[in-house]
Amino acid sequence: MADKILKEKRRQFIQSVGADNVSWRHPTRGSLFIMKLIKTMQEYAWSCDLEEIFRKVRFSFELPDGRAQMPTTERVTLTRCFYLFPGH
Amino acid sequence: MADKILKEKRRQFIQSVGAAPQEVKNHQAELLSSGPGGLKLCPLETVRRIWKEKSTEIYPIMDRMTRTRLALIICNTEFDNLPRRAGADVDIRDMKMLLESLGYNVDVKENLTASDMTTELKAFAARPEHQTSDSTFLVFMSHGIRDGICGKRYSEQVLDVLEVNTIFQMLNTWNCPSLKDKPKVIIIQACRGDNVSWRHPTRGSLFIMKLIKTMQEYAWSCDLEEIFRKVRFSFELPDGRAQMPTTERVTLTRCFYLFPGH
Repeated sequence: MADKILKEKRRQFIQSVGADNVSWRHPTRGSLFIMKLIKTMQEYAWSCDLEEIFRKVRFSFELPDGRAQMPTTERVTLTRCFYLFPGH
Repeated sequence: MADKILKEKRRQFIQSVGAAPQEVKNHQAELLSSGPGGLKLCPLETVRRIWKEKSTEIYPIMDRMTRTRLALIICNTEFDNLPRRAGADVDIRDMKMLLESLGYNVDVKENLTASDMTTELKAFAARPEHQTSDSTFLVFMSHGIRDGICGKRYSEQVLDVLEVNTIFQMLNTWNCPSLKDKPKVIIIQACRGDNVSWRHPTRGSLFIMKLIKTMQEYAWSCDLEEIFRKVRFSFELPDGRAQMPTTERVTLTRCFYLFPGH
């Protein structure tokens, strides 16, 4: 019975996906946000501070191509630039 | 009772402000021309350099001669059941001057209930000028609680509060299509429950004072997020009046350079 309700909720969720803020995930490649976050960190952590890296992640989501989502940076109280200095 | 404590705090604050050292003029600043109200303007070489270095990752700005930028200031000074916000008039005057020097036509609305504020927001979002504008600034100044900004009727019995989430909703692409993909900057001067915000009765709010000063000093060379970080940095050492402004809900995908003077 609970399983039926769950199935129905899931169906409605998939239907409403266009209107809500959702996050996309691939069954074998992982979440789109995590994939892009890691790729951007690998590419830019050597030269950009964390806030710039996060902005570049958001920038990579500018053009939706059917799977629209926009990560948001919330509650920043960093007073300085955070450089990871990878390798040091 | 709360009023007495507030008065005492205010008295101490004024005392401490009197001891503040005079600002030493930075002679390097004379190399940059100043716009109205002390805003340092962006030299043409700097505009070119920034465009060259970051071209696809900055927000384009529209031509100065044809754009119709708008900004909105909503400020509550007089309240039915809360202390009067002495010094708020200075905040309004100084923020208006800053935004005008940055190229925005500023609308000022005062002493509103949360419902009035929502009405003003809707009207602002519907303004046709946004179509021929590249960005907007909204400034809210009032008493505040953790969940939002106080309307003029606020009391413990009457929760006249505008939720910050409502502001974001009224300006999103659904409710304000003319500002799609354009930077929308919301500045809020208010307490957030236990985290208080300091204000001087004749010099205005500390946050607004520092924000304006940092903008005037760095808008020519830094993008908005960097400027806001520098404002937070300026609050690192508390000197008795501790507060830390917070940047919330950033969805800017690019750097927002104001290019003052252009």
